[in-house]
Amino acid sequence: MNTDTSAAAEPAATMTPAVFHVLLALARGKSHGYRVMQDVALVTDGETRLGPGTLYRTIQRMLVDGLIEEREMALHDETSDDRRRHYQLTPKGLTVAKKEARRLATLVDVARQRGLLSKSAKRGLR
Amino acid sequence: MTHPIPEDFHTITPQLVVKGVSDAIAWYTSALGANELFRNTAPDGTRIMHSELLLGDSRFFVVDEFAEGPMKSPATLGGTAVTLHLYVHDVDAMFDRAVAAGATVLMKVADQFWGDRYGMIADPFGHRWSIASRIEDMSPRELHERAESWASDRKERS
Repeated sequence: MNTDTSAAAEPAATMTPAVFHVLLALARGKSHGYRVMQDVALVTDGETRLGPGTLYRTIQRMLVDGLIEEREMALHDETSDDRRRHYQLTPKGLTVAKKEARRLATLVDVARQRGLLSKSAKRGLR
Repeated sequence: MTHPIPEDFHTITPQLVVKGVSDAIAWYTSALGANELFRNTAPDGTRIMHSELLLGDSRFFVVDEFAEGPMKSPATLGGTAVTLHLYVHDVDAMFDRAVAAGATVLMKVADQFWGDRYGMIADPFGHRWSIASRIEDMSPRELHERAESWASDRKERS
């Protein structure tokens, strides 16, 4: 959070799926927008597609919230394309990502205990 | 596939009509802590027909008035019928900052019976904002009782 200029811009209490996807993508190291979009498709087996509009609104919000930062390393031929800008997790972004991952893991454990992830439950969904 | 509801938008997105969008964006950015994503210039080359700002986890649009049509600013209309309500972590800090940046105080920040610490301002472009932090989490029944007792206090005093 940039406390110096933005009293209103406290990190949002809610984490959208897109925010977590970007955190996941950048957990592998710094990356640019296009590769983040590819990573989302990869980890969800193509079920989720992050469009460029959603990607850049999400990135804007994460920059404002201090979860990610832009790396000043774009080559001159890359600056014209937003999707070529490089981003990386901040220490705060890493903390938030770990916390959210643990929260989800706990919920998934409970879901498993309660039979939501059994083979019959999977058949029920299909 | 493009989702019909963009993920980073809530269902309601305010579009504020102002005279002089650039100044308004600068004010919303510095005074309220908004962050600008982009702006589009109108065919006349001067007015701005669309801009998108992020404030906390919400987005709003700021556009120039096109007084020849229905898009009129509070300055042209002589008022506004809408209050934009903000919940923030520190109502006093946000309120003081907005006032220091030129907002008009309509209601000073104070603890209110409905469980919010709350105040109201008009921004330099004529839009009205209420700013609050929740200080008490009450059930609808408690809220109703508080409202009743507030109303009867008022009645006795008048």
